[in-house]
Amino acid sequence: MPLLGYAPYSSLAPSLTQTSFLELSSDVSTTSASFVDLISITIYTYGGTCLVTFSVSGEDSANNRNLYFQLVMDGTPIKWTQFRTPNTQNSACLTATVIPAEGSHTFLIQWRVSANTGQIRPVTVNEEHAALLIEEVAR
Amino acid sequence: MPVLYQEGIRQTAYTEITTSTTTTSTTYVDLLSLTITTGANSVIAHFSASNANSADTQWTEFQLVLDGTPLRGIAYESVSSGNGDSGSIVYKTSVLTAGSHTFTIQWHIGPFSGGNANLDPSSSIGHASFYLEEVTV
Repeated sequence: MPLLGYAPYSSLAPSLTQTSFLELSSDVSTTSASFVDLISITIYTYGGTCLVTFSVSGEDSANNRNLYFQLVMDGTPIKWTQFRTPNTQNSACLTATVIPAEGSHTFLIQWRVSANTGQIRPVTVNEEHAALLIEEVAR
Repeated sequence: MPVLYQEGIRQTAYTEITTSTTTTSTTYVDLLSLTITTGANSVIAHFSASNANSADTQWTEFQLVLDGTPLRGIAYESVSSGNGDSGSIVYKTSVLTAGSHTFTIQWHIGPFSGGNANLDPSSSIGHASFYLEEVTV
């Protein structure tokens, strides 16, 4: 039902059913060369299209290393992104659309490094963050 | 005449760099700005950029600022002069006080390598885009 004062554009227009947003709230690091969990959102979806957006900025303790990220939905990897750190921080993003069946679903971002220590430090470094946004749009 | 919006999205706002823009500043200066009047709702901000630096191993930093308060930032580095890199920020605010709010993207170059950062949307590697959604869900 539309909220008071927000009339639907038309009965056929897609509408935003829900949003869910989560970001790192502490500094994290990994030395893992295989994917490990970074951040996740579990939501109940209603059969709509889910727009998934992930943004990240971080660095590795050594130059010329890669940080890799993958989006996993309900245990299945579906999208990947990465960046290389020549000397300092770098950044990456990932967007995806999926249409899960109505029910509870988990959207998970995992990460790994090519070598040394990957770091994302939203508390101590202003230019580092990792954030995951899910927007479900009714069809 | 009432303005009709899609359920869940009260309004959107968008701006982007349309002309070649350069900074040599090593402290944050304004790049893009959007001022919107919201209800007591959250706002989702999307920012993406790609630019070149004139010096080797130079980096560019950006931050999202709401009503004068920095929220989140990114940094990226060009491997060599003339090459670019890219980054993005996605952020959802808590419920804002109803009224006028200014969202700003600021940028600067790293302090050590000199040169400049150039955002040239007419080039094959340059853009900066800033998009807001006021959401009720």
